[in-house]
Amino acid sequence: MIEVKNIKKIFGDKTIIEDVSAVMKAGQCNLIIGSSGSGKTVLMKCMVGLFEPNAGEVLYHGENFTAMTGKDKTEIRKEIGMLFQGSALFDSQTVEQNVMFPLNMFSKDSYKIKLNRVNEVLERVNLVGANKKFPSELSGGMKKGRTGKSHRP
Amino acid sequence: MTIFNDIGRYLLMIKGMFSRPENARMYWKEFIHQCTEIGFGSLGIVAIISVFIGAVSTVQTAYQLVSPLIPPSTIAQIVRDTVILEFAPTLVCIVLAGVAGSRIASELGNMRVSEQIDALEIMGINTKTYLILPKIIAALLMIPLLVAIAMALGIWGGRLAGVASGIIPGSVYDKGLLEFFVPFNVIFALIKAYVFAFIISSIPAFYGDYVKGGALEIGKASTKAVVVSCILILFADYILSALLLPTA
Ligand SMILES: Nc1ncnc2c1ncn2[C@@H]1O[C@H](COP(=O)(O)OP(=O)(O)O)[C@@H](O)[C@H]1O
Ligand SMILES: [Mg+2]
Repeated sequence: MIEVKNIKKIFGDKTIIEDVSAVMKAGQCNLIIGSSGSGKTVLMKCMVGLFEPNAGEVLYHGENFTAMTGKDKTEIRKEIGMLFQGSALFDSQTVEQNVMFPLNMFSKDSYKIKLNRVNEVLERVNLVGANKKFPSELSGGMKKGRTGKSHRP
Repeated sequence: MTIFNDIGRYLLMIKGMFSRPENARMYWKEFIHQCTEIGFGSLGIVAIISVFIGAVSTVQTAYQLVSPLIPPSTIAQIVRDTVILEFAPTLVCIVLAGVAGSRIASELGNMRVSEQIDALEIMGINTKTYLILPKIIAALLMIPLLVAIAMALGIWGGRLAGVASGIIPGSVYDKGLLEFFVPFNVIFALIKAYVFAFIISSIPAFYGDYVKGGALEIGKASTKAVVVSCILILFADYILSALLLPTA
């Protein structure tokens, strides 16, 4: 469960979001709706700690994420998947290398296990056989399908 | 005062680089990748300018030394010392600020703007350590090496030009190279190379990492990175010369 309490974010002298609160329960699909430039991305980034909110707090499973030290934040972040507007793929790496990146970084599995995992993920987003393609060769929708990367075991 | 603000953020970036790598093998891979990019990526241009700088030094030194009292081998000494002391380290590093520096700034700027850096942070990776530190260490290893190559090629280029234009026979040039040689000059040049290498890598990394906006801002950041690096190189060159070279 994720709780957002009275979040406020200011850039310079512009207040982007003010006093936003929400409760997001597990297994539920939650939407954040707003016009372009209204601060949806800013709110998301405050929730995952890419921005430090000026006021308010974010709680994961009742634990105060905003007040955590860098190391504890990292642990929580490993549980988060975030999809970015611009896909955020490494454009110098193939699809396979992109998907495998977090596995290479955090798991000690053999290449074969990792490759199986990558193929599983690619299958789920209908990108079977695109392993050796570069991001520039994929269409926009295809890219987003797999930016969630292969993080969860 | 934006300049103090910038210096503060620069120091925070340097401090932020020192954290434990999540996975040593991935960091090593990134380091090797950067070594190839910075080292081999600039080898061609460094070779070309060094040979020509040496050649021009020989011709111009000969042009300015008109007295018959000065032995021709002096030309070789002067070319050797100017190439080692100034041209190889400073000029090569100015060029590298343009070649390697702009590459570093635009690579990081592009990763920032396309949210690749955010994606890495979300995975729990310290991007300062993973993306910036390998670039700086690679520069500290490869740039002094390029400067050493530039010294050798510059001196060789001077010999080539001297012989080709009939200014000085090869054997006289070689003899001149060994006269009044001060080994400290080479050490001094390498000290300069290390300082410049740090400037060339860390300043563009700073400007690249803090890009906000889009493609236009990446271009602006990389231009600014090159300009600031060049000014700092010349400034550091003066300070190091004043501090380390015994004069009078
Ligand atoms: N790092 C930043 N610095 C200053 N202003 C920002 C920054 N990031 C976003 N903004 C501003 O916050 C506002 C909301 O942006 P954003 O959350 O991206 O909108 P959207 O709801 O379309 O995702 C915009 O006006 C944008 O200019
Ligand atoms: Mg948005």
